[in-house]
Amino acid sequence: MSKLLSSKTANRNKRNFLQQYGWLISISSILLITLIALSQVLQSSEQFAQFYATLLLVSFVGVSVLVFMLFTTLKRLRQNYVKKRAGSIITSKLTTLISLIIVIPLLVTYVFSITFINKGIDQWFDVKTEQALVDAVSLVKISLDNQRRNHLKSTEQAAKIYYEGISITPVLTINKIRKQFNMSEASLYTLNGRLISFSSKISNNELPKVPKSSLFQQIRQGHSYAAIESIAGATGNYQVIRIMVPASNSITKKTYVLHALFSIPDQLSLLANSVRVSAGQYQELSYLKDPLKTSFTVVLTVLLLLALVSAILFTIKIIENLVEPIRTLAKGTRAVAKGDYSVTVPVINDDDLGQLTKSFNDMIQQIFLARNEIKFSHQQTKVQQLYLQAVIQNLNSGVITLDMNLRLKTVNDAANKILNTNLFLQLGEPLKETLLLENTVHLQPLFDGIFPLFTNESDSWSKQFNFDCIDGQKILLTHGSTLPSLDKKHGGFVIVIEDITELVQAQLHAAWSDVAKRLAHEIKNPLTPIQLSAERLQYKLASQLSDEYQPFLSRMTDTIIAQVSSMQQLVQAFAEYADTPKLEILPFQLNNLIRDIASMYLNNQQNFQVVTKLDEACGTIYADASKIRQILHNLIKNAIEACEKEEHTLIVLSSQCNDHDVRLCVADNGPGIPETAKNWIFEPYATDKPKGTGLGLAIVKKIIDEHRGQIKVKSIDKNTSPTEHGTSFEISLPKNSPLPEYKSKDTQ
Amino acid sequence: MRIGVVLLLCLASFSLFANDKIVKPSSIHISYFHPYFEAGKLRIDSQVMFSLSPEMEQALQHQIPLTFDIEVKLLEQQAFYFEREVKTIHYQIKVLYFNYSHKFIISNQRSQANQSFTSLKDALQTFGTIRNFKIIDLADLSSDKTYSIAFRVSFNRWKLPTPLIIDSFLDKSWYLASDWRKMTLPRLE
Repeated sequence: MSKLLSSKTANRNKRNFLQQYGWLISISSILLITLIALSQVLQSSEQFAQFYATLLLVSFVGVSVLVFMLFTTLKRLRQNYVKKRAGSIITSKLTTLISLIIVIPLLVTYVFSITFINKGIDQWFDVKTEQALVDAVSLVKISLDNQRRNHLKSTEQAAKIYYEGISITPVLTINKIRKQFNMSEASLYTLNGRLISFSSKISNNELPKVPKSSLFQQIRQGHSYAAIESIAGATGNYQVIRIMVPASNSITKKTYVLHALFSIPDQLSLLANSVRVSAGQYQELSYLKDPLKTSFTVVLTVLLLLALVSAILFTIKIIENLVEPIRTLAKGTRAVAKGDYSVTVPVINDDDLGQLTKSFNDMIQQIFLARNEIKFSHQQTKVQQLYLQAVIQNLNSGVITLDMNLRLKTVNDAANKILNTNLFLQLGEPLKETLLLENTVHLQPLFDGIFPLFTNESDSWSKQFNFDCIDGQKILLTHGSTLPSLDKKHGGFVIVIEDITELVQAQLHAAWSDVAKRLAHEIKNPLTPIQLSAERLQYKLASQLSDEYQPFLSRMTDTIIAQVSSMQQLVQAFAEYADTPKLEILPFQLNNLIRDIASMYLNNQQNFQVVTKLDEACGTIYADASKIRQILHNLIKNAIEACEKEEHTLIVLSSQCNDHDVRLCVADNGPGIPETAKNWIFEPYATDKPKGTGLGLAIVKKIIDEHRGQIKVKSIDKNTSPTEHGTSFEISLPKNSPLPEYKSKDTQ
Repeated sequence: MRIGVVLLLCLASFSLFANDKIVKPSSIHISYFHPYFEAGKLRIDSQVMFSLSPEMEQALQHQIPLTFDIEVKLLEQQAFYFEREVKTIHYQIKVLYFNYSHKFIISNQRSQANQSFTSLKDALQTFGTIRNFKIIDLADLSSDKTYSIAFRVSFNRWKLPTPLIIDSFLDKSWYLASDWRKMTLPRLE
């Protein structure tokens, strides 16, 4: 399978290679072959001479195509560079650098080659060679001319010697002359060119070719003829010396033409021919010297262009192929930078860059998975955080978290409510600075108690604090713990605050109710028999005792009856405190009730005065009128008793209403309540007065609690302010019935 | 391709401006051209005047053969001024010089005939004289058609020795050709 894959990859690579480099290789190869052929033709090779025009055309077209390809490629590179496409800068730089590396040696080679060829061609045609050839030609000419002259002389001599024989026995004489003077052919003609006799070295029956008539004309004019001529033979042209001289017979007065052909020695003929051909070729080549230079320069220039342009094109292509993975990687990174982690960069080659691309793809895949996991975890954390926030916000316990530098991190509503402040505005601020603010300064004692607990080694702690605030004193149960951290010992602190004031009070109330029930049950029952027994003793014994003892008995029994009565009152008060009858919530006019109660205390003989200060907006409210009456009586009574030692006691009953709440206030100008007493005045049997049961304020608190209201005590101690002292009990009740059963009853 | 055209234009312009020094331009002029019917054949007589540039003469002196093209076209008139080539005769004549023998040779490539001359003027005179040159049998022509005959002589640079070809294209001295000499033949009877 792997072999098949590798084979497919190899085929694909081969295809890509051919697609990318095929054209360039083809054109370059064709051009190179053309140039080789051109150079061969220029070196006088006849093989491609007929294709010279085609070769030239192909060269120019090939170079033009290459230059065009280079131009378009450079244009594309420039466009990429201007558009700042990935990889364009490195491609341009490498192309410039490598092109320079290629161009410089190529140009040097080109200039050197041109110089070398020009000088070489000049040296081929130096003066000595030319002179030698001229001399050789002259030598051949002189040599042949000597031969010609000699043969002319010998022929003329033969004509003189044998002038008689020619006319008498021409055949024999001609044959004799030919043999004697070593002629290859001898013949005798009349002046008109008619053949008389003929003799030849070659014995065939063919008659000789008659010389041109112009030659006979020349003889007729008395001039001999001697020339070297080419004669066509069976194996080709060969040179002979043709001599024609007049042969006159003084006896017969007749003139004949003696015609002789002398063969030139083969060696001399060959050498002469060679010299002639060489001289001719040299003449031709010497003329072609400059054109040869031009042609070689053109070929070399085309070759330079071919090498240069092909090299640059190959370089650009190779660099582009090398940079291609970088380009695709850059595209991939851009996509990743835009947040697309699904991108997969194609692996082009299985080389180093291919491995890098694979690693990049793996990395992106891993990042994609990790990012999804982080996203999921983040969502989970967010859900957990929201869940936790919802839980914390809905907790009745206050939760405050601090970082390790004691900066506020988290606060819930319950914490603000319990601590009677708004810490939301201070989130992120150091707690120590926060506690210096006006609305949070009352938290200072609480946190002064809490801070040391964090410095202890233990991770968690619990402690109960009494917390004074505008709502009064609260009993807070606080729990503290350190928060976990990955890199440090701890990452902060968490404080959980529970307001257990009501719980403690409820526990106290339950305890006192139990005591009251026991008192009522255990004490109230014997009191009536005691009182009846005392009255019976008075009735039975008074008549039997002397007058001296009757007053004593009467005084004792009265004391018993008075104390029993007092105890009955006390028991009654406890019974009332313990009793929890169902409230009778009914609508009534609050102001009328207050006025009614105030009128009951109108007595000029007393040292106190009860006045009202009512809000006429207070109309009908829903509450148990008898219980409200009892509250007011108890508070007025408490004020009167507190102001016993004051000369002019003023008790003010006031009301104030809004849409939701009713505020009742019973204020006096008495000595005030010490600050420490505020903590326990609403507790049963908590009184510093000689008289009273100590249950008045406890009952008030109990009734208000049953109405879901609140009571606050504000007091200015006489010792603190001698002029503005006094105590006021402010009661806040819901205007409408807070109890659903009464609400429905009302609506019905 | 555009680069190729630009290159050729550059070469051409270079050749035009590079030869202002030439005083004696070469030329081929057809001074006489006469087609006629004789013995059932169409024949032509012509006289061509040659004037070779010094460069060409110098090349000839160095035994460079000069090849000339002789083209004769017999055209038949068609509709809409179109013409059909009835017969084309194209042959070449070489002019050579042998320095050894100081002789000029005219070699007819068609008839394979050679003639030697002692002067170039005689050689060109003989070369330029065309007499009784048969073109076609009249039997091959139609009497209801109109025929014309065109004649031209030009120097063939491609037949120069290969190193000289590029130079010949760059040098105006080697541009040598007559115009087409065209004559309409009289209708056959």
